[in-house]
Amino acid sequence: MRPLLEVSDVKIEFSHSSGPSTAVDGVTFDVHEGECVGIVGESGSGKSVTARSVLRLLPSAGKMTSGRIAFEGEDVLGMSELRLREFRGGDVGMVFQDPMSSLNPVIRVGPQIEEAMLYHSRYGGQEAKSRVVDLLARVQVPDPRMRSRAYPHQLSGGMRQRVMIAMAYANEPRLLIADEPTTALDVTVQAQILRLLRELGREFGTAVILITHNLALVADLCDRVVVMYAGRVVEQGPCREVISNPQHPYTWALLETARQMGAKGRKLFAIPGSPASAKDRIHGCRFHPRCAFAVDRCRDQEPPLIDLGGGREARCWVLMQNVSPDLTRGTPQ
Amino acid sequence: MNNAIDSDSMALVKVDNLVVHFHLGVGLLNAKKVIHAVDGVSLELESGQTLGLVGESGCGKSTLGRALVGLQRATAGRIYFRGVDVAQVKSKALRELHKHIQMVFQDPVASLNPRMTVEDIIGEPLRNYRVASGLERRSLVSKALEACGLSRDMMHRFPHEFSGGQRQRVGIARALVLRPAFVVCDEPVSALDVSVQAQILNLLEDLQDQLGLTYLFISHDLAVVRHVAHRVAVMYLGKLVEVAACEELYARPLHPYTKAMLVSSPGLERDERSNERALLKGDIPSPVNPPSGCRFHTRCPIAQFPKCQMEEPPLLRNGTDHWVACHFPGKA
Repeated sequence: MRPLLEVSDVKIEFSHSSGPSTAVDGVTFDVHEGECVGIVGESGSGKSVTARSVLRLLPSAGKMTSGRIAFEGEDVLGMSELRLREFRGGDVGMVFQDPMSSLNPVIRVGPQIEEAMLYHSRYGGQEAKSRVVDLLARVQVPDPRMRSRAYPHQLSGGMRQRVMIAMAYANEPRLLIADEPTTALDVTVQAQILRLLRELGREFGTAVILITHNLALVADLCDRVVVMYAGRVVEQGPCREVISNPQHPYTWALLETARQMGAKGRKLFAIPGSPASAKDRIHGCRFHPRCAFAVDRCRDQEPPLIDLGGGREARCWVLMQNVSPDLTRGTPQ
Repeated sequence: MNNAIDSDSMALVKVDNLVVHFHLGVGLLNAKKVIHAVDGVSLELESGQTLGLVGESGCGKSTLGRALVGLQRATAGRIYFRGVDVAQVKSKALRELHKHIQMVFQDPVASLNPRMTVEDIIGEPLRNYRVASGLERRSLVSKALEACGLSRDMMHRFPHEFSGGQRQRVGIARALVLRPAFVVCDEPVSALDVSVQAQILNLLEDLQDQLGLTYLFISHDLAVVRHVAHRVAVMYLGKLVEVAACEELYARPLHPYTKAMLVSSPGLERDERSNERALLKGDIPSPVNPPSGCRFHTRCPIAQFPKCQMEEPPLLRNGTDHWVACHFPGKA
């Protein structure tokens, strides 16, 4: 079966006054119908840029210099301006991190959701109007009729994010891209929004790309995970297997820190240094300066994505399965 | 007011019924609006320990922290430092007292002056308090830098030349250069990348061991607090709802809000159960018009009416050193 979305070998460069720099370097992944894929990474990993390139929403300085993105076999780069307008918000919905800056502050939220439907002409005027209240009810906004007449500033952060989600689902997209959808929210509200995304995904059969820095969110919501570091995919595979048995030292280290964080104990396992970005042009494996298990080869030659079977891949010469358990038990510095 | 404290032990910092209100008094409509940021909080911090202060945005945890370092005037209530009522201390002595109370801020970009070198930033408290000058100041600055895991060669650089984690180290060095006894850490790792958070937490713990520091560690992240804190206080809409030793709180949460926060935090090992987790409804209400009675009753899964709506539950002891403000503790 053909995947819903195919991202293959995408390279994205940004032009600066000091010359071009690479933000994303040869990223490949698929999203299948109804599947939830998490893209995890820290700042500079290129996760948001990758997701935006799917909708051709790169900032003006950014450019996809090679690779291919296909939605149901259709080349996204080859889309006409007209087709692109239909594609964005019609075939693919998007939810951003900060709901306040993505909503128009001077228009009531109901008409904003309605506009999203009228723009795509999938629903007529009266139908769109009545669907607004249904959609708000569906994203569990209490008293949806009254809330549809509220301005964004009259709603709480969690409510605003629900409105954004209602808007993203208004045209029943096949794919939803959620870029850090809960980072600005409190923990009790975050859990509500995640549950909502999960339920809506099931109900509408929508595929979801969740972009986050938090592996625990991915564990909670996703079927598959793509871990990015410095513009590269370093590991990908079925979520549960990656989390229970990570093969790239970066994934392993992130999980190790998170596990120790939740427990009492003196010293935390910490990855030394700070996150690299693709523009740092590190020779060899991009993670090797921070890696506890790096060997000479890692400094000289960048590893390819190695197929581990079962849909799993990792970009590492060493792989955690070959690291002696004695080394992972202590706190390597 | 009930003190979640044992008055016999000598606490480094003692907060007694602290109230901080903000008057929105701008314009005709807002003239009477008051934000109840902190509404009668009593706490004790023991020397050399870390108290974790947890809550969601708008619960007043940062305001409480700022009141403790003197950045925010208290509307009512008392703060005692080493047994001395801070409000009674006159200007010169107060300045001296604040030398021992420092703060680490959340955002390492906003809290460092971009036009000052790291030497000037860390040296500024030394200059303000006329502790040291010239070569002596420089040597204290380089010691502080090294204690925070930076090299003394970085002294002449500007904040923008550092990564986020390094900037937070500079912020910590500035807080520690006067050798304070008490440090308020307001979300010190929230703005940092996941892989860097652990480094900063380790640093804060090492410094506590070496210098015998007392921390108030403010955070919304329950996992981080569990790792660093000895005791934990949970705050909701300006009130403490639960205070207990760290492990006790995570093992035996008594307040329905604490329980809800614990089940809401995403965990790595979670499985199918996650769909059946009882989540709270709605958002945190506005602190301008906090709900009557128990402030949590509007979102509480076990609230009983009219009791919870009418009567405010006091913070009472429930087991050894476990305090909870709920009419039906442990029932959720």
